[in-house]
Amino acid sequence: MKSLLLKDIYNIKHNMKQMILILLFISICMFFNASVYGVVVFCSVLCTMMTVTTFAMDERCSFAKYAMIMPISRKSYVLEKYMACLIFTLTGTTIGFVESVVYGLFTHNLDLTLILICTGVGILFGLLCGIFYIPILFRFGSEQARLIIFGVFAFFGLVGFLIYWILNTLCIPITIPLLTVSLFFIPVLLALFAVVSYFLSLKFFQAKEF
Amino acid sequence: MDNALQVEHLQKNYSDFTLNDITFSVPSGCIMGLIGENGAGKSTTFKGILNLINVDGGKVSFWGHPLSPQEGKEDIGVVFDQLNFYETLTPKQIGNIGAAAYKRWNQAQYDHYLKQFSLPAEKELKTFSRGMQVKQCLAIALSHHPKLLILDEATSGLDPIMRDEILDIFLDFVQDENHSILISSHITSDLEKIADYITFIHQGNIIFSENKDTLIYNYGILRCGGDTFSALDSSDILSYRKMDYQWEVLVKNKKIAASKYKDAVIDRATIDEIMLLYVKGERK
Repeated sequence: MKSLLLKDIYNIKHNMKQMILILLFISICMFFNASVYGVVVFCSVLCTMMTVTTFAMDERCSFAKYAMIMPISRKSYVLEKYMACLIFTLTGTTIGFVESVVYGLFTHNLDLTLILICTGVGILFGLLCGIFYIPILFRFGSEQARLIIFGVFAFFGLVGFLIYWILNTLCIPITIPLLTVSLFFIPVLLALFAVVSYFLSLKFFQAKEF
Repeated sequence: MDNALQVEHLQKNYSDFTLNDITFSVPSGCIMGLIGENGAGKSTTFKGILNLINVDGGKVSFWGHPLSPQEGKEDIGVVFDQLNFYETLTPKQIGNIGAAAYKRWNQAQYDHYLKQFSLPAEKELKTFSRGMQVKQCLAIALSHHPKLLILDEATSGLDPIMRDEILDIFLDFVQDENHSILISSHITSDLEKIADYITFIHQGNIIFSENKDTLIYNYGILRCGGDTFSALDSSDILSYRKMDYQWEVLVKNKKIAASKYKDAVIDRATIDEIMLLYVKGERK
């Protein structure tokens, strides 16, 4: 597991400069558009997407085949991808959090509660995306999965919109207390999703021939 | 002699190819060469041995035990025909990955191999030549004290000097009588140089698995005209083919054939010629 994480981090490290530039550029754009708190979610999701890059890199050099002749089980290989996803999501969220705080301090408009809530949303949304697309990556490979992942994001967007529409129709205002309660409730669902997602990925990977 | 690797009745069915009843063993302290034309089933055999494919039948054991997902793999070093690390990694980083993966990883030995093979520790793999890539693969495979090396076309694409250097490393490795090598190669001259046994796979079937000296010293190519060919005992003929002016016949024992067929010329058979006659020739 440690060796696989190390490998993914080394691989991603190479793309780090590009990633930081993209994060900075888009963050600046968002700040100008006053989407200060969306930055955290954006950074989180963008960094989660680096998991897809690790799959693509592995595929390009047939690393999974090599990993299977190392003292690494198929279970460990699958589990590591989830660990990498968690690390990337947390890294992205931390970057977004720092950016938002710095922006708040500069503009003398720091709302730490809202930033923390956005950080929670960022982590949950990033992880949810990862949990959703890792089995797709194991099943279809990174090339095909990219297209499917766009569909997944569209699906989440639609679900978000539907929730908003239902709440709006039922005249339930989206308040900070409501968001806070949801943030405590969603992790349970997320954990359940993660377990199902892991076993699906394992099933796909165990059937894989190299 | 104990077997480092025992393959029994290995079977794998694809829609367009079948690996059929593959049985051979690699004794400890020996080098087994696996030969065969492209698509004969060498790589599929390797994958079956290493659990990289789900086989349809047969048994593979390493030192008498099936390959365990973790502990057993510590004893095996594998080199495929390509470098399986992403091109932006450096040998130094790969060393760190190896150290985290293998319990018996020897960093000093890895550094020694990098030095011996003139591999720059900080340079990205994408700058490496094919020869350097093979050496990098070998450095990883040798640095966790494996007892068995499995090499799939490891010397292909290398110039003769580089191949010679790498063959010397293999010979060094088997100086320890507990060490063994299973190597597949198209370059049969390499195997003639280092292998103790040769297994020949053709169209998914094993044609023979023999001691190399038996092949080289006993097998022969009988060259004769049409009359002599017609008079040959079919039990002496392993394979034959008609050339422009003569018949070429592969015989299992050239001394017996020489005493039986005085009109024929009998030469020593190289592994290349044996393979060629089996693949291109006919059988009576």
